[in-house]
Amino acid sequence: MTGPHITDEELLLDFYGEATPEQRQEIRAHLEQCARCRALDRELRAVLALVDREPAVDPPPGFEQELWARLEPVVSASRGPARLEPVVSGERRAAAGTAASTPWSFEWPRWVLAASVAALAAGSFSLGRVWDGPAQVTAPAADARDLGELVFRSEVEEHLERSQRVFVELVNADDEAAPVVLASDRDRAADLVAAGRLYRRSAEEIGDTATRDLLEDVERVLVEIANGSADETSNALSEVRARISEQDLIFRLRVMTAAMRARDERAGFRSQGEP
Amino acid sequence: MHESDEAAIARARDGDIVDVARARDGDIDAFRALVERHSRYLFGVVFRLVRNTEDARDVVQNTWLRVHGQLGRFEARSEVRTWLTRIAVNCAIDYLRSHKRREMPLDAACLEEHGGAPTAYAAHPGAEQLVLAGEIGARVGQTMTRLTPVERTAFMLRHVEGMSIDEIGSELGLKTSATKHCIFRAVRKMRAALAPFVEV
Repeated sequence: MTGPHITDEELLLDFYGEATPEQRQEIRAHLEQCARCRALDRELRAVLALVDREPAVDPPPGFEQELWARLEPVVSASRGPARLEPVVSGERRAAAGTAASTPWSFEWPRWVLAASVAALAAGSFSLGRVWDGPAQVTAPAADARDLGELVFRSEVEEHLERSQRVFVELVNADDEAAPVVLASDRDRAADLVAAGRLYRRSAEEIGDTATRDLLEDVERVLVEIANGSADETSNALSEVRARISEQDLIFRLRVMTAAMRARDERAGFRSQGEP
Repeated sequence: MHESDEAAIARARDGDIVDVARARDGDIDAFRALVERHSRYLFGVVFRLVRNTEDARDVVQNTWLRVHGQLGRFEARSEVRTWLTRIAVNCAIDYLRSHKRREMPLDAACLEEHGGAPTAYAAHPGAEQLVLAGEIGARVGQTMTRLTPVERTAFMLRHVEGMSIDEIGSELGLKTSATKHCIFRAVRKMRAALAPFVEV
């Protein structure tokens, strides 16, 4: 803090939560003792509250329709995949569904559960296709198929969300913290690799190529993380990050899990109030 | 937040991400769904920066054209709406830069000329209070138009959009210290214009 009083700039940074903890402590202590600065602080907050009173301006009626009428010819002219580099085909983005997930803190290694689920899925799939297939089966067979479908999809979705969390943590970690994150993710990644292989085989068996392909790409990066060198270097980290980015993995995982949830809701496996 | 609200928000986010994926594959209906879902919100964001309905309409249109060209760059590290907002803000900044406005001075004489002498808010009950509320809203809008584009943008991104000073600096291509000073200057002008409405 400069001078005997708090500056307007310091008060403003405090208001927006951008003061450091030390600055914040000093400001609080000073305000308790100084009536002049307290008055300034109140005035600043009152003025900024008035700014919020500016009424929102709505666009003119029919704005969206008019906007689309102007956009459509341009967008149609450049019709086709809009991305710079094709990463995932439409078929691969076609999603399968799953049900509610369980917490991340599950204590058993994921591959143990994955093995059970894969076995259940394989058994039930022999009675019919897991998802997307026509319901040309008898009632008991359909029940078994539904059970296998529900459990398998639920676990695959959770597996994908866990993998996504590992990737997001790595990509978002700052350079100093990232090697620590990378090292701490190794066990998680190894567990996910083991489970993912079982899910991938099940997906292969039931002909769900979209899930199989995504699991395969995810697995390659997880293997890199799991097998990382003892002293993670910035190069190793950059390579993993580059792989995640090049293959668009976070986006693909989000698309797949989002579509799974939407499909669950449509199929009634998940209620609308269930996140 | 109510649980069903959270679920609705989660569903909307899922819908966004799926529509972005489909639009990337050339699905025009998916792109149209994004346009219809988010344009009203983007208009509000952009209007606060350009302060003119026609300009805001043009900027929102340019935003969607840019979004269409950049669909392949969306990495899903942020929400779709956050990504769209950033593109809209950048389009607004580009627009303001290419249509440089005359920076109008903001001083007491100027305020007298445009707004008249205000009276403290607390002194006006009932209908008069409503009139005063309208007067305050008008004064805020008037003062906003007199900020420089960069002051207005930095201030709105901090105050309304809740972006950090570092993030704003990154968006505007300014150093953190320069970003801070833009916001400080904007707030100083807002205080000069609005302090008479405040009874401390």
